[in-house]
Amino acid sequence: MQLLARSRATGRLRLDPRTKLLLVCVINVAALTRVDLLASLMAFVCVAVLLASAGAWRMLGGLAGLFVACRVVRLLASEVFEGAIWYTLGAVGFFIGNYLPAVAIGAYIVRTTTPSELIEALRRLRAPEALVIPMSVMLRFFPTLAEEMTAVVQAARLRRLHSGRWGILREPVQAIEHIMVPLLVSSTRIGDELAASALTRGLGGSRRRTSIVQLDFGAGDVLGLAMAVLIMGVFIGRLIG
Amino acid sequence: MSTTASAPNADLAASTRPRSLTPRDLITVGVFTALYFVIGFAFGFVGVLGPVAQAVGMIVSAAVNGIVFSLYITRIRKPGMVLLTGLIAALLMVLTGHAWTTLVAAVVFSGIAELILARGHYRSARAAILAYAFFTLWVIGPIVPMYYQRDAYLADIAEQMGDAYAAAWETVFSPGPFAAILAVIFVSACLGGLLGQKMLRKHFIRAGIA
Repeated sequence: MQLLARSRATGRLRLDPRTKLLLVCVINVAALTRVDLLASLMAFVCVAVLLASAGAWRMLGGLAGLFVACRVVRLLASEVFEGAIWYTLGAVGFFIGNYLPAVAIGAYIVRTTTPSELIEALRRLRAPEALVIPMSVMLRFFPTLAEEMTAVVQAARLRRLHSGRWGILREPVQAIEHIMVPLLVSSTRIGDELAASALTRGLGGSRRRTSIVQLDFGAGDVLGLAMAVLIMGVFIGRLIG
Repeated sequence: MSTTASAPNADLAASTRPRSLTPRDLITVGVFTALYFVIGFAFGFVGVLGPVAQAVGMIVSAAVNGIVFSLYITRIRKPGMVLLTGLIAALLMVLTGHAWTTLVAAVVFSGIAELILARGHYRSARAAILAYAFFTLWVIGPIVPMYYQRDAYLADIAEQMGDAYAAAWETVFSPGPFAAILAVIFVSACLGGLLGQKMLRKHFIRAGIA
């Protein structure tokens, strides 16, 4: 399980991770603070452009379809049809539709940002080491953990523990114990080794560390900043107006 | 009731250790936050099906993560560890498309957890269980917008249907069910914390990793 992208984004429109962070803040606040259909729509369209530039067509199609469906259902429920079923559907469409812009920008970040880029961006934004070190360890630890978890589950299967159709449900606490204890013991050991190796290579020293990742603002970021200003402008404008 | 097999020179070691988080501790924070997340992921509280479908996953993962958290506390025992975990977990949630209210909830509830742990001097099993139960409540952060966007929806349908209908919705979206979810998660987390303490005594202390 790799939570973020494996390799750096390709494509014509590359955004600096700091611009992406700004966009997350702006879109999240605009979409999920008060219900403002125009700001929410603007945010969604902007992210749609970004997703298209990253070539995430399937993701874009799914999200856009869902977004339109939510809006349509909501309109039908409030303007055309009546009755309890439609109101329930309308409510579901209303709430899911409100969340979608934030979900979309999340999907864009997951697809186009590597852990190294995100960490370097946080460092450049002067985030404290107390935040940056655990964050980078966590992001790089996910794949290892997924491997460990698979190995533990396979070992339990091999020993015929909790087999059968209702295996896990028959003795849930024991099943959890048989998975969690080996997983925790092995990840703690791996964590200790990781710490020893990182400290040997000067983690937590006073010197500023260099990074292989080169970050700079480019044409993509101008567009990204413009989007942020636009969304925030609409949001604040409607808040006041 | 103490969580550790107290070594004769434990007090001495505690007094000579630095009270702030060392780089080694920060790595431990990263490792355990990753564990916390993967378990949550496996039981579906970080799903993409929207907040409603996640209620069951939240409750189950609250129990299972009690084991992770019990071990985690014994590995550092310093102020700030839980707050950092909450912050990092919430940051990752917001980055991957959850509401900004997640961050607020994480800071509030991990702050409460820190206070409880400090009262127990990071050594008390009871404090560890209670702190974990409060910490776990941060998972309601992503749902919070549904509760303050409710008024907008009620206004929306009251225009169409009149106040009687809106009043019916009012009961569905009232704080009642919200509080009920919170209570169930809290209880589930307490049970998870108890289970975690049991696992500590049964496995981890013996294996020499707690």
